[in-house]
Amino acid sequence: MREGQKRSAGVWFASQWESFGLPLLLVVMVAVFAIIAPAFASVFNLVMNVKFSAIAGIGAIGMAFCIMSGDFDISVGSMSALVGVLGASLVPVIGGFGGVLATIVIAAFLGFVNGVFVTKLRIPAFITTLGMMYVYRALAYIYTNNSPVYIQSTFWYFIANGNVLGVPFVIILMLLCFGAAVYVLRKTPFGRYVVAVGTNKTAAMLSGINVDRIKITVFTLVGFFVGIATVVLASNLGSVNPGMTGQGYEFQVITVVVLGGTALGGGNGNLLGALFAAMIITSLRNGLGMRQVDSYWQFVATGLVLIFAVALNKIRYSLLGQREA
Amino acid sequence: MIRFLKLYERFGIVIFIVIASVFLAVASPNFLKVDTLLNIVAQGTYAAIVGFGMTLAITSGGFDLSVESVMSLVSVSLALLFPLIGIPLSIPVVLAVAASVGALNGLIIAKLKVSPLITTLSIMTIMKGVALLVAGGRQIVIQEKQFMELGTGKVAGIPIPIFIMVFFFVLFYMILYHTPLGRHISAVGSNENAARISGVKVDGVKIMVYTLVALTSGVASVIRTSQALIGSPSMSPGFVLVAITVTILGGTSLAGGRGNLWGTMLAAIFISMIYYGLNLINVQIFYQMLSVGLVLLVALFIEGLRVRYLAAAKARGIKV
Amino acid sequence: MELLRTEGLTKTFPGVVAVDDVDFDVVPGEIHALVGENGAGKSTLIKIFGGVYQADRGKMYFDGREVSFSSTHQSQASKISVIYQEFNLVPDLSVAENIFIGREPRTAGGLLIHWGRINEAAAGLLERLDMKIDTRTYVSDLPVAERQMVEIAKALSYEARLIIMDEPTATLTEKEVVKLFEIIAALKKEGVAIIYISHRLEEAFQLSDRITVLRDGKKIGTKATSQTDKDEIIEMMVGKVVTEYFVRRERAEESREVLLEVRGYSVADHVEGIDLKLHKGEILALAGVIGSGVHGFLQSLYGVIPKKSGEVYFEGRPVEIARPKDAIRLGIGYVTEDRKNSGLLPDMSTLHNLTLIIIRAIARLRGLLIRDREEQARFKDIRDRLDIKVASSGQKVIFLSGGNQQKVVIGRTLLTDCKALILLEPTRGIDVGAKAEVHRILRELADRGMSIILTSSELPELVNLPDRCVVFYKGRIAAEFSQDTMDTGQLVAAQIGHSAEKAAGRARA
Repeated sequence: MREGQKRSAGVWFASQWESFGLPLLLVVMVAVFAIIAPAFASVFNLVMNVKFSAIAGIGAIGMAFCIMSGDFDISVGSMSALVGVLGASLVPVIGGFGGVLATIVIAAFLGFVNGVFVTKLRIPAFITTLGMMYVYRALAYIYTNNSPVYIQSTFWYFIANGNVLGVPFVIILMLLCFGAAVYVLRKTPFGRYVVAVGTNKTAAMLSGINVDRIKITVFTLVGFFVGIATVVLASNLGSVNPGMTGQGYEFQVITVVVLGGTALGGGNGNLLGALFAAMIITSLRNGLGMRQVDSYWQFVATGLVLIFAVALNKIRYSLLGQREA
Repeated sequence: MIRFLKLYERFGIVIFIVIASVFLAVASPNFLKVDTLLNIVAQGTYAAIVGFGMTLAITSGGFDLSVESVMSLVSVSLALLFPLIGIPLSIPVVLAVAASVGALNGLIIAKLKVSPLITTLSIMTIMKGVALLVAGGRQIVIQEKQFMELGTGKVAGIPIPIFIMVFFFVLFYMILYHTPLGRHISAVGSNENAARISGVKVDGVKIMVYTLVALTSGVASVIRTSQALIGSPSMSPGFVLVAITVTILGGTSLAGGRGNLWGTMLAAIFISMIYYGLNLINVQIFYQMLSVGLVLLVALFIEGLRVRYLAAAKARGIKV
Repeated sequence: MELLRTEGLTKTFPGVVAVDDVDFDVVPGEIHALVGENGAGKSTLIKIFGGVYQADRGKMYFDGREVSFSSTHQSQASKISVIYQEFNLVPDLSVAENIFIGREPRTAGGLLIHWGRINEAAAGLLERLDMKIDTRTYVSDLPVAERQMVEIAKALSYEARLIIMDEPTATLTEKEVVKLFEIIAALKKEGVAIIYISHRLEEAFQLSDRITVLRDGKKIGTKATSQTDKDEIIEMMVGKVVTEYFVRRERAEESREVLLEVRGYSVADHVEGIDLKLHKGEILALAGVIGSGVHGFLQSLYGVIPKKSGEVYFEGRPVEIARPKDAIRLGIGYVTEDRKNSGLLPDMSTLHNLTLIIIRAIARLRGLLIRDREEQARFKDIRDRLDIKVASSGQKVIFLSGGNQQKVVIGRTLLTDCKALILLEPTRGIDVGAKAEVHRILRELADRGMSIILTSSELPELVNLPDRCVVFYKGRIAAEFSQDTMDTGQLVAAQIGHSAEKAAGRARA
């Protein structure tokens, strides 16, 4: 009887997690940090957290689509560096707005290239993108001769630092991106196709879906959102650094997606969850930093979070009797 | 054509080396000197050694992205341990540390059934943090100068690392092709289900594989650290790419089951030849990274073409 | 004294009783053939012997002692070896390594493999089978026939006293079959008992001492081979054709207009030179056992696998179907035989599953906006038409019963208003009531002008449902039956290669 009770409690918990788990976790985390580091709970800091979470969050949107379709793209960090330096360096030539646009377009293009390689080479995506990861990073170094590129542009500066009607623009941007993504996922055939391809490639193919074309589009989307995230990041820092920018970004983004509740095996994804997960991860880093914890502990913490998130997903899915990663 | 494509898997890398040799011989008169050749081989030894481990991992159907961070961890541990327990004791200790990280990888992959990608990616991040913490974020200069002998010394005119590489080549060759463990590694990569039903302890095999990969990372790190005489928490960035590239370029199939250690070693030498060539035209070090990435993509491209050509031939009814 | 004996063995899966109260036995040194149609329960029975499944009821005795195998290892420990259709070999290991995997003879303090001994032992085993394969060859380089020998050698190495072979000759040439039989005879001489499953009755009669017939999970009877003949066995396999649920189709009018035609159609490793016509409003069944090529033929027709040669005409015009999308565009729908692995999208809702193919077509704003109401309307339409029992449109499709799942897969194609529907094993794994419903649906569709081409291994289905039944054997057309000439005995005979002339001769008589 005990076993049965335990099991059903677990099942209840697992089903509730989907709706309440992450927001709850976020609140708990904020509360904990507020207690142990009072400076954390200031409005200024909390808003900063949300603003910062946009970087991982927006990138996670593209990655979420990728994982939903059953693939991975671990080149996103290096991609960010490359498109960042390219876009930033073009500012003197085509202005701030042009630079922002260039960054996003180039990123989408690189994503497209990734997609073509993955589908045409027929090699697992992670190895292809592993190779691209180093190619992009190397190109970033070579292009800038290993020196940072500074951005002088009011437009670009505005993106991460400006407010619209009192609300930070970057938050509006993040919400817009998520909103658009949720719309595409739920309300367009394309969104269905992505989930179908990730759920069962064969069945999708038999239903007439052009699996290759979907995958290429998904990878392009990954690039697109990485581009936007890079713009925000560059706006925050005022510069792009070929070595530092995007380091560990792929890991961050994957963690956000997994923590958000999207299964690693492909299929339906949780974009709203990813939004909260981005805030959780960012708050974690911020909070640890506030306590003067060695920034290196952040590496350990983030690594542990991913394993924890995967384990959590596995347990949840097995309790609910569904497929897991 | 079909015969050629099938043979390519085993001997394709030789073509690359021959082409590269021709280029380099033409480009530089120094190339064909014994000293230069030995040096090139010596530069390839770390990639080769870690490549051996990676070959086993890919043969078993997985892979390991955490090799860089293991190397970093070993490097800083060496630097910190030398003053405490001396050189001869430190080396086995750090190798044991490396092996345990590998075992941890293996445990998570085998028992918790988390994919190798996520597992080794997470462990990489965690160990990167641990290495940085242990080193306090800085590079630690090694005072014990005699340690340099290991990485830069020569015996009978041949650099010591080459001996180490050959030793590990022989060791891993024996393991992969002549021990039950090695055959089981191939079996797991080839048809995990059949292996399991036939009584192979699949979990144990996987744990051993990842332990061995980490061990090779440790050895390579010992050599490197000896040459640089610095314990570095961010050693060899990009090394995992090199390790995977030499494995695949050497002919080990991504599908698993067919490990090619000879190919890995030759591929490591090939990459070293590329570095030499890049040095000749005096480009920045970043071109190394770029070229390895491109080599990987080219190797994958060729592999993709090969597989599809053979599959198409089969569909047309030709005996393959 | 029987080697293996079962009493009242029963195994049930959701919706179907696979093995129903079976009493079965094998004596040492006997070759015992196990025959029956697909779905008769042969596979399940041997999987129970092999420790893959455990029986729900009944007893099993090995060597007189009661046993129950909860794992494959336990079965192997009792010296039972099963050779399944898909071998359990590791392609990238050598013959010797495969045979002794997990038990390799060692040397050098137990660290290294003793190649001399392992190769010798392996060669010795193969010699007992009168085979001369170099034991160092990789299994991936061996032809299928020789791989089978390796499996048999593996069984011998475990000193198996009972070897079970599941359709061993399905992919062998005539010469290789002869060789296999010699080996089986040799094994028999050594006192090894063999359970031999095959669709090919002539093999059963050539080899076996006794034949057991299964049908619908029940044992119909066991006969000494010398005291029976093919006709009797076929009659036992077929029995009284169940007619309560499956009513013969009344065709109002014969449409002779050809919708789809193939000429000289060949698919590598499957079929060779097929000429076939499909008429409007016709239900055409393709019958054939393993190795007949039917599945491959239909997959190629839909564009899943490439064809080697041949022409396809749709509504009189030559067409090329290279991908499923081409077929869909022409108006051809497809229902796979394996809904779990290639038909359904398990984690997605019933609604999404149903509307997947047409979702683009019914979306507004040039495919940018899915309107829930539209989608729900389609869902309701199909749900009512096919009477799919589902709690709500959002219910995940894996939670539906087998029969309802099948209706979803069929319903999905119906939404595309297709002109032709290809179905592979449309009623596999669903209960009788649902089967009847599916048949009703298919008949209605055909009455309204849709052409249906299906394959099935269920005799009642083949006999009653279609207007025509074409039998494939070893990649070619072996026989054709119309409703008038349909004869269950001949149908079964044609599938297993019983001479076509004989069948035709009987028809004329």
